[in-house]
Amino acid sequence: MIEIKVHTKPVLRSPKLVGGLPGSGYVGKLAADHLIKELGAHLAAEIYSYSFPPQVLLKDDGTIELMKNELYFWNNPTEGPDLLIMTGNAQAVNPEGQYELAERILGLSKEFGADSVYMMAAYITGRYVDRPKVFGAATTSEAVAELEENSVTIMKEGSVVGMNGLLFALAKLQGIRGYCLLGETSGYIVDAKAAQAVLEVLAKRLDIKVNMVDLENRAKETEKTIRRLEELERKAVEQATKRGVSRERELPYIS
Amino acid sequence: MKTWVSYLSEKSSISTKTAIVASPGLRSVGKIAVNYLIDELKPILFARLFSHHFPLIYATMPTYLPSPDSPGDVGADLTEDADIPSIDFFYEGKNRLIFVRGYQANFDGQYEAASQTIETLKEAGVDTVFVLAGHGLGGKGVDVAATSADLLDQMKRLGLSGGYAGPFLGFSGLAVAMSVLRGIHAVCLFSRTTPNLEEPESPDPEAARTLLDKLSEILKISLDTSKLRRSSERSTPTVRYA
Repeated sequence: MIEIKVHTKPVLRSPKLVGGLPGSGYVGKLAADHLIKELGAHLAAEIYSYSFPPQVLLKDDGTIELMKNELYFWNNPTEGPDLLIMTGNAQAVNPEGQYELAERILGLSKEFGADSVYMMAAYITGRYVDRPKVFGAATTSEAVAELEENSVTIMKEGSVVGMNGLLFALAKLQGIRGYCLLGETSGYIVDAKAAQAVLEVLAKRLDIKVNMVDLENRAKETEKTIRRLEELERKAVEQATKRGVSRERELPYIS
Repeated sequence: MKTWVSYLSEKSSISTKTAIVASPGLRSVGKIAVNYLIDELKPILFARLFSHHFPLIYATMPTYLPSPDSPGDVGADLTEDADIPSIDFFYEGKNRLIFVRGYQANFDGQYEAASQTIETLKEAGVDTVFVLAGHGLGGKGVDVAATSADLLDQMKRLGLSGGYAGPFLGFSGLAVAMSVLRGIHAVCLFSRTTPNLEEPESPDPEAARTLLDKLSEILKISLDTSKLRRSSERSTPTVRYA
């Protein structure tokens, strides 16, 4: 069962639905949150589902946060498209819940006028990289060609699991074009660098100006974390070598 | 109809704005507390909530951490007269309180059970719910969370503060969520307890006693909690796992 609380019915001009939910590296979620903050987007609706984790979150100040997804809107002051931005603090836990939520969110976005969907997610490699690539997929060959024009590496195989995948793929059944941008990430840490890379491609694609300073600063923190982890790994390998382990092991992928 | 409420008496006989809700959970703190209130104040059972999603035998441990892949086994409980699991609603006329003795549903029923519970309370006229539980940061004392700044301020004036940040799992956590969605105020009172990793729901009657002493102060209930330790030792809560 899903409950939707609509706070505002926005009047939008050819809006694009963009979104990112918590997942590996928090890539999509970080990018969506940054977009909401920097654009000053307004809350349009909250979406609650019985398929979210059965819990609430208690905060330091004694207040309570429910598990939910949220839809924000932004009116573009230039000639460019308006945005609907979708994020949340949870994904549905079971497949049935994920499908139900994705369908309802797409339906609501269509009611608000959305004519395409851009989901942001993570491309997990198990390795740390200095300059994350942005991978992509789309629901039509024309849409794929558009991504290639933006220097996105097209995924010709593989999958995007969870709601980040469902939301853009199900868009096709609702008659709107779906795109997915995936930032290259190890999968081990919250990765602001990957989020920044994805958001830069999205902003260029949609011709919107987004101040990246805060995300850049977070990306520098991510960089420091990676360096610390690499140093720890190097020391661990050194010690293992001293103990007589002759083969250097690659860091295993953890899903 | 997978979740339903059966009334044992007329709704019109109930006149209250406050309910106390608790369920099996960490160190059974909430469960012990609400059972003690029911044993001591002897309220009348006026409604029961049943659900196809209430397992008799749980497939996950603890009961408040369900998994969508493990619904558990249903059946009859033969502890007293043969019966099926339920969430029970009691009304105590002297203090004008409703007590809800909760039950942990499997994953599919968690939200539904909490939603119907709060709907039932709202129909009864309740506008504020006190949810009792424990949190595992150790030590002694009671911490608070609430659904509004006003309520938090009221609790702070009574010497409480928010000492726990993190997830509040299962039926009691969702009772708070559903209160928010249905426009009812909720105050969560958490008694500090020490987790037992081998038996997460093993009873901590001292934590329950501390919680009840604070609740009595807040709601101005006359309640003797000195018998609590002995009563909990006499009847250790049993959870059945597969």
